[in-house]
Amino acid sequence: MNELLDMGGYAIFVWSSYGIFFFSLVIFFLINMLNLRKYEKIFNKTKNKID
Amino acid sequence: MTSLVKSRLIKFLLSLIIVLIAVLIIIFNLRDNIIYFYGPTELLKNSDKQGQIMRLGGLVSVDSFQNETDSIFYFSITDGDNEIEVKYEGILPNLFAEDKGVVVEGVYMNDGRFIANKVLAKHDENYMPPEVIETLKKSGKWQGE
Amino acid sequence: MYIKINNNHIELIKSANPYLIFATIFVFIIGLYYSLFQSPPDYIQGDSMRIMYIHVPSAWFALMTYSILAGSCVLWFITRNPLFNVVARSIAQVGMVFTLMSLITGSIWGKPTWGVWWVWDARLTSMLILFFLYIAYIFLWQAISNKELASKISAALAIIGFINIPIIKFSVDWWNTLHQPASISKLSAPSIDESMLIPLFIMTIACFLFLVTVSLIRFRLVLIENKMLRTSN
Repeated sequence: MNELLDMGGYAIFVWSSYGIFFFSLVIFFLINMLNLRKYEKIFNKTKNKID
Repeated sequence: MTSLVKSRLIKFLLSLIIVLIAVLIIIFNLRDNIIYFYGPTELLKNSDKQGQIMRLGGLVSVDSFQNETDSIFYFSITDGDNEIEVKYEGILPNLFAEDKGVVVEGVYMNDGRFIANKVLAKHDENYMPPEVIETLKKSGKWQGE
Repeated sequence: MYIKINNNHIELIKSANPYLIFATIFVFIIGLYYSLFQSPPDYIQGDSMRIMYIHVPSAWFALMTYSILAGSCVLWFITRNPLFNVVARSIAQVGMVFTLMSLITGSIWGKPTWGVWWVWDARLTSMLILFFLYIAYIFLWQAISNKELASKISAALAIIGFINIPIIKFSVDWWNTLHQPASISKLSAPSIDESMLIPLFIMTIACFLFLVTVSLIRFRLVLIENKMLRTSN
């Protein structure tokens, strides 16, 4: 297990790049998903008013 | 296809050709600036490059590496045809080795030697696990360095 | 040839969303297992080459997404079918994220391999230009309040910027660069061992699924945005 965490001495580089990569992807996904929810809500409200 | 779409298509293609020609002219004129490093043969051919700050790249020649002290190193860079001697003072990157790619930054001196103040290891496009290299070497099929 | 998006299409995209999210996570987990545990280190770079498994797919999809972006901008320019404009705006941001990821992971790989975080060689510089092109495309559209004009200007920028794609692709062959040439090309056998191709392949599929998932979410988002713009005018 320690061997894996150590990554042959490249631990900082390997883990930080994977960390940044997946953190960014998740954040980017969440921003768009939440934005979509928000927009759908606003849009449905205005549509109901017109109806 | 409506005539409107056709005319847009023609205008589009015309402007595309113009932009393409413009970019080709720019790239052709920038050639010298885009090149990140010169090889030994290119440097030896152009003696007007002497005394200038630039980058030199190639393979570290076999058996050329010497260290005067812990931080002063001498080695030659080759491209197979020609060699240039390099003197470098500083820390070498981990992947620096003889017969491996390297790019050095510094001054190409008038006496034909190169005084480097920065050494970058250049990696090639081969990715292999150590065991595979061992078997390849044993069977004599290894063509790399 | 005139394709129009109706509510049935949107419902279909909506119902596919949870499956796509699940598939993306699933393939990423398998990919992670292979790239961090089930693959050998490189004979020179050691374990730092594992960064390649996320760096290379990011770079591929940065280029692919831009090609689709420029392609749909061309189609929009010629046909003026609003669908192509929507497609372009749906994928632009995903492409920008992939470009940024390839720049960051490449930089983290460069430090232990080359000895520096960044160099201004042709490959790295043209990739940075690609990142700026994505940003310019996204912000131009947002900044210009006349949306018809905004679409025209941003599409023109995206099309002109496409010239950068072959420059990125062939920079390593045309000029001396610190960046190594491509390991995988169609013309010759890959210079990567099979045991390292498997994780790379799985990670590529995972990144593709991510691209599709987020692009479809953004597709719905852009359509609503368009409708709201129309009602507010």
